[in-house]
Amino acid sequence: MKRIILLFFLIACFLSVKAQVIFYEPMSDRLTGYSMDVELDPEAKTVIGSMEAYWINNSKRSVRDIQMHMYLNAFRSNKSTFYSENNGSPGNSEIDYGWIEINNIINRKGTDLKKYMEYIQTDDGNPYDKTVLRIMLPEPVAPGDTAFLYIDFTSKLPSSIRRTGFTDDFFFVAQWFPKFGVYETKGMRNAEEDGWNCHQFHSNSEFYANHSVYKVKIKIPEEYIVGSGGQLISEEVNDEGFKILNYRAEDIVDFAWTAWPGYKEYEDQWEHVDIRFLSPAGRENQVERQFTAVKNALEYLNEHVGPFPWPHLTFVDPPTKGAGAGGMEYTTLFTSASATNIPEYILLPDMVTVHEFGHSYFMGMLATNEFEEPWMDEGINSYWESRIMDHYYGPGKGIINHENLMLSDREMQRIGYVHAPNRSVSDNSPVSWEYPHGSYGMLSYQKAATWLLTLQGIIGEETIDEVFKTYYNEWAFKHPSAKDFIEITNRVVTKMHGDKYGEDMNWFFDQTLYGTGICDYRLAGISNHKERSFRGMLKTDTAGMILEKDDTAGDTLYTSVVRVERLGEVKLPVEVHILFEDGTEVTEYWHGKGRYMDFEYSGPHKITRAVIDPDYKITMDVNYMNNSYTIKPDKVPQKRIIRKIATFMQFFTHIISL
Amino acid sequence: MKFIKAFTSGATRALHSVKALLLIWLLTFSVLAVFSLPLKSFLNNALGNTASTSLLNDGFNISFFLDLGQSFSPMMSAITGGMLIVLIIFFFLYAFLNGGLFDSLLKNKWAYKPSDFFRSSARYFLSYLAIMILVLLMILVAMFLIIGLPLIIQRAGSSGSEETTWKLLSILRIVALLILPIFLLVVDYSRVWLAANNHCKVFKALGYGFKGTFKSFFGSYFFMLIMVIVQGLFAILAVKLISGYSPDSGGGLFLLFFLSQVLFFIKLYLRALRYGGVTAMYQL
Repeated sequence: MKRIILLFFLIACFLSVKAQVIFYEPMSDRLTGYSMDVELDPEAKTVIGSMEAYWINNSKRSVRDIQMHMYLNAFRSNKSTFYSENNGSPGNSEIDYGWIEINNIINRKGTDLKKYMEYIQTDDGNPYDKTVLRIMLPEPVAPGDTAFLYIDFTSKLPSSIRRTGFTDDFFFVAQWFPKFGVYETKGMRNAEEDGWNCHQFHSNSEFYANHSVYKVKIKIPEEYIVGSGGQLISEEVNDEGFKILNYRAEDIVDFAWTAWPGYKEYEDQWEHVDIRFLSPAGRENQVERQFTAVKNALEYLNEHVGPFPWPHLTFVDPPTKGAGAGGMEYTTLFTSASATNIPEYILLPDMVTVHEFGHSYFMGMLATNEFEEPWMDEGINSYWESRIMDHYYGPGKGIINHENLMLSDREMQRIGYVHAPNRSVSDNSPVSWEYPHGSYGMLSYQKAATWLLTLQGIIGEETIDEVFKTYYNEWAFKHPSAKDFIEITNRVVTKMHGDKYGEDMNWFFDQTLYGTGICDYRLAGISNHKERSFRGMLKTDTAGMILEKDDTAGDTLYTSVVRVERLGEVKLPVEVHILFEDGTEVTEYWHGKGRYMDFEYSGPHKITRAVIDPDYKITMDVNYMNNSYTIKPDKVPQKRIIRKIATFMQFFTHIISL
Repeated sequence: MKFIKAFTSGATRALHSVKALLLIWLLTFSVLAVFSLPLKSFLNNALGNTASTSLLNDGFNISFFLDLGQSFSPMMSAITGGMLIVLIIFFFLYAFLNGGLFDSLLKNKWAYKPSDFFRSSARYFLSYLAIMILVLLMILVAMFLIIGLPLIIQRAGSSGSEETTWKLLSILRIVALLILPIFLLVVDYSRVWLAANNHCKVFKALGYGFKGTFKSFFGSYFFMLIMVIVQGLFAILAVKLISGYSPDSGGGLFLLFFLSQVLFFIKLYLRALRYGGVTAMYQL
């Protein structure tokens, strides 16, 4: 393997005289690489060019074919799998459609491979879908050998921007070139045997690719400002009014770029990372907060997960007409989403920046298969997004921070899941295009983030940080799967806590990741029964029935019971905090396995209040309202709200009465 | 100067109409109580014995209300549906009460009888209602033409940049604010004319409304512009005060109630000052 990598390194250096190596020691296996020379035609909305690409067969078997993603063909017709699944259409006129065509393709020997090409449908058999290309090779690729392809292609961008496309002179060029699938060997992730993992482009899917080296040369009219996931090596302007940009990117899973004459460029720095931000004119007041957001994310993830290795990072705030490109990630390039004059107390643009940057870790470095396990990038990333937002912008205020209205990112994740009407329709195990009834987003993002927050609540922040650090150290620049993450969690929790949570944490993942049950604990009630001295009718031998009273004046004694119930199917350990009228506090622990639990006390003081999960660690609990009970409910807050609503109504109705 | 006289006379007239203002306050407060009392019971019932109400001490808590679960939807329906009904009822109520108020301002006496107030309210109710609806429609159309249409045209154009849109919106908002006093003068002069001439003819009153507005335009306009600004600033201040004060005791709640009603009464007074000022300018 090392020999192969060294060979590639030498080839790369030989092929590219002007190459500027970013990492002298590769961070990934670099099983694939792309060297592209392309030109954007802004009038025709096409990117035309040539590509030299290689794939290293790291399996122990000869491989007869190569499978490549041709994502842009999803926009070729309304019968593609992409549009069939969302009942949409690319548009009505020719300019609206998107596609990619291979004009020529040869191997290292010069053999024309075009006749060996065919489009296959690996997922649904839809004959109209041309997003997966198979090339049967005249000679198989032996184990350890490298397949080279030399391709001339034309990519036509679609007009409606679904992550990629154009509007007028704005271009976002993503998923735009023929891209190798991932060849998985037996035992890798969930592969039962060696084979290509190359899914069609679905309405609800994202992507999966190897960490690669990219050398990209772009020719474009000189008035365009370009941003990309690569490091700019050189820029020249020729006499014909074009500029030639040379980019290099190493160990990233995707290369995307954007071009628009209306961008304004801003630069900043975080430690070793040069940060470049492209934004439309008129949003100057958003620039500082955008840089703050990305630097917060850099700092936090560096500290709690692992180092960000690249020396360059570009992020883009697309103009309104290009908003379809917003909120998307390409490791060292990502897009945010903003607008002019968004008030400081609405932190949604900052949240998007933090989230999209976070993807450089979760799917950028930890390159999970977004087709098959979308929660592993979206859910995990949403979990870290909530930690970062609530850490830097204040607990309880990570999304909205107004004196009269606050919302934390954590709450937003929770609300998105617990109040979804179809929260139990599926677990997190389906592939992305098989989540039923529109539940893909809610389950992949919010449910996964919510149960990760719950996991943190149970095992503690220190332990979950250790889980993610171990996950990073062992799986960065590889392709982990759910079983790998679970294995690491089990190992770390056992190492740090022994059998405190059981033999392993599989009981947790079985109920959350692989379960559809809901979690709902209820504080059913408090009873305080005063024990009285004896008073009643006694029968004596001689005197018949007499009234007897115990004259002993004893201390007041209460028998108090706190009744806790588990209404949902999910069984999680919970804390129950109990307050007595003299101020004494007791914290009980319940494993949550039974349907109910009674905590009984005898003493001179009544219980006045009890709360399940007082610190809101069990984020999955669908109803916090029933988690507490008090014998003296405080009605002041709701009266205050009603009073204020009534006053605002008084003022408003008076205003409209002229 | 005319508009200074309008202010002083308006303030005096509004002061003399304090009985009318008290009646207006009492009636509107009663109607509002009809809406808010059931809402309070509903909320108390939904919350039961939960100790989670402390979450409301830091402001409006979204997940708190969503966690009311099955109680939330009917509550929101009650609030939104109830608010719409309350809006309509108040619109009609103010149309009714303004008749009595204008009569009181015209007579400009301390000794003003509640029976006169209600008699005038009843007499002019339909006419005032029609005038309010017509002028409100005029305002909506004007705002669309001044703000909405230019923005739509600008955004649809090929040079529709966001920066330009925001600048245009800022300018148009100022233009709209400067145009609004004209419509308020029209509605006020119309109502004064109806009350002063014991008439019920809506379109004739509107005709006078426009005539009176442009008769001595600058004086009237400056008066109304200042009133709009003062009332607007006061409303903002009042909302901030009420929003910012969050008592956590019964005594504090009473103070909140007292403060809110004092502020609302001041708002009623300022409105009466505006009506009184226009009345004074009509009589000059």
